[in-house]
Amino acid sequence: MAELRIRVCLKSVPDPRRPVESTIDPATGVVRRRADEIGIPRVISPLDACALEEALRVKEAHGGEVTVLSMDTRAASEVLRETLALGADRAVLVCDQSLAGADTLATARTLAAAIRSLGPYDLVLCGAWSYHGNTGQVGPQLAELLNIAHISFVSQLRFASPQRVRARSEWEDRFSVLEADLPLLVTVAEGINVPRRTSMMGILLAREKPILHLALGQLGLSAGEVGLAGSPTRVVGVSTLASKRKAQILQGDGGEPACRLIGILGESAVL
Amino acid sequence: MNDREYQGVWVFAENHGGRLARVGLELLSKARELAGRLETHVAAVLLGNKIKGLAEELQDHGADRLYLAEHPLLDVYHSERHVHVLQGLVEQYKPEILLLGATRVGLDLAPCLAARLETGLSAHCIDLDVDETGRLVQYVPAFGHMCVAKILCSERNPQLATVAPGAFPVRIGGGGKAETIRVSLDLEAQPTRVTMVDHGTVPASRAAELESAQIVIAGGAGIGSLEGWRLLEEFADALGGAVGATRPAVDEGWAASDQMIGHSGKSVQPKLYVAVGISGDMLHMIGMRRAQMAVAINSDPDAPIFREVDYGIVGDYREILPLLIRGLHSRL
Repeated sequence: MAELRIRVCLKSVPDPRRPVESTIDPATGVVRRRADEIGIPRVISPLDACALEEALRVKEAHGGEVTVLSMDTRAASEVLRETLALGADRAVLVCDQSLAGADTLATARTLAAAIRSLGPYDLVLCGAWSYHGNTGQVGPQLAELLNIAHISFVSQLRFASPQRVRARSEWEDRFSVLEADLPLLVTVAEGINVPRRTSMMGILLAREKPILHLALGQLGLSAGEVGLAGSPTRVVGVSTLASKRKAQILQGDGGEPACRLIGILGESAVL
Repeated sequence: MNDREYQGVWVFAENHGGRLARVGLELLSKARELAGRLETHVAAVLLGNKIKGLAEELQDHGADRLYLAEHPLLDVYHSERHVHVLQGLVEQYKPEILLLGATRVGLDLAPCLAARLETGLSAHCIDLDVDETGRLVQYVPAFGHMCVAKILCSERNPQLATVAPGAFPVRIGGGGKAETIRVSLDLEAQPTRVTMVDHGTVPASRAAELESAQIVIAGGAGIGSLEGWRLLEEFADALGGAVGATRPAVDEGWAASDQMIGHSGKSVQPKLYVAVGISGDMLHMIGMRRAQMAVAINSDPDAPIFREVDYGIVGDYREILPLLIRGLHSRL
């Protein structure tokens, strides 16, 4: 069996376990994220971490190489270094000022060009959605633009034969089991695996592994096809959702707040 | 009528096993409103097998045109086939707007279609409107923030959006006698790269009743362990409530994915909603906006959630929940 050429598209996000508070500057409408200000570390978006884990497992079982791609600013370098420590063979940072403001279609177009620029591939893995952003659109759009088959929301993946994948796909209260020949794109859903942690050896090995930088010129795309210019949708405004809640903290020592809450629930007849 | 090349507000009427998904009916009621302002028609697009019986229901909910693609091979959702059929319809009849539920089917189908048509798509909209130029205004929760982004696709057609289930109420009426357009299909001749070898249903989890529950207890990252999650479930049992979760709690494996409340999960409308160990990320809060009364328990007094609920208790849920459970039992 030929060595599998695996591509994992991933995104770094502020650590979802850390609370993120944000405010909007009323004058400019610009969102200020406390996450950025207080330095919440970036991590691999949780399902993208599962996509990488699945790629590493496929490589370990069947042989091959794993290339991680991310379209981001240079701030993502540390997260890419982490993917190398986890076992990826090389990482590619697709980074160019012209890419800013991309919607999902422009992002998918950019990633498709980046994947193509690296030569032939067999399997592309992505998280089914990212923690922030959360649209889940890039995976299927990427498959369309690469003109390859895709299977969404995969919870189990195995090889039916060296060139054929069998995957279980989760559709809320239904499932389907699907097969397709390579090349194939798979978006992974929660529960497919538990990602490994970095090891000291992995961190040492990662030092020798390359992080490639791809700019617009190497993608074969024009500035009009990427970033804000290449995006059919755009954000034309941001507004807050005003809360109409009482926002009353129940004060007191020990069990008092709990007693007061039970009293309130009793009076309001919600029970 | 107007002279635009692209006309009509379309709704993808998702259906499974001969039943319409509720979100399609919700979208029809909104489509009626948008179409009224755009002076155009509302069409429901129905792909499936043995679906003729659903036509009347769609007509009753406001569709004045029905595109019916009926074929045994469309019985179970198959990405490639569904995209192929829907793309053919859109290219032939040119709707200006196509709305889909932000269900897994919608979230697979819509981006494929948008990529093929090179048009704009927004995800998980919580509201829709039409601007002064007749373009679709799409409101989506801006990630991680207590704010909503207003999105336009001003140059490409059709304008595509997936809409969060529960965003709009279901309304009867609005349309007249619907005109039915049957689509002729030759799917056997259509090669597919993906083959379905099996399919089935999965047993309902604790989430089955979430959307209709009167009381919802939701847990987040602050629960911290599966053991803690069991305590949360015990509390829900004491209240007779359903258990919901935030994305991090699902990612941790404490809760099933269909228990997720929020942006890409369910939208609940209980009399009482209790958030335990939830910081108050917008992605979650968007799903509980319609709760009559909201309560939060969190150990961080600065957690944003306290501003988004009626009553808050600052403290360790592992101490507070047992007190509440005992208190509830003694009331009964």
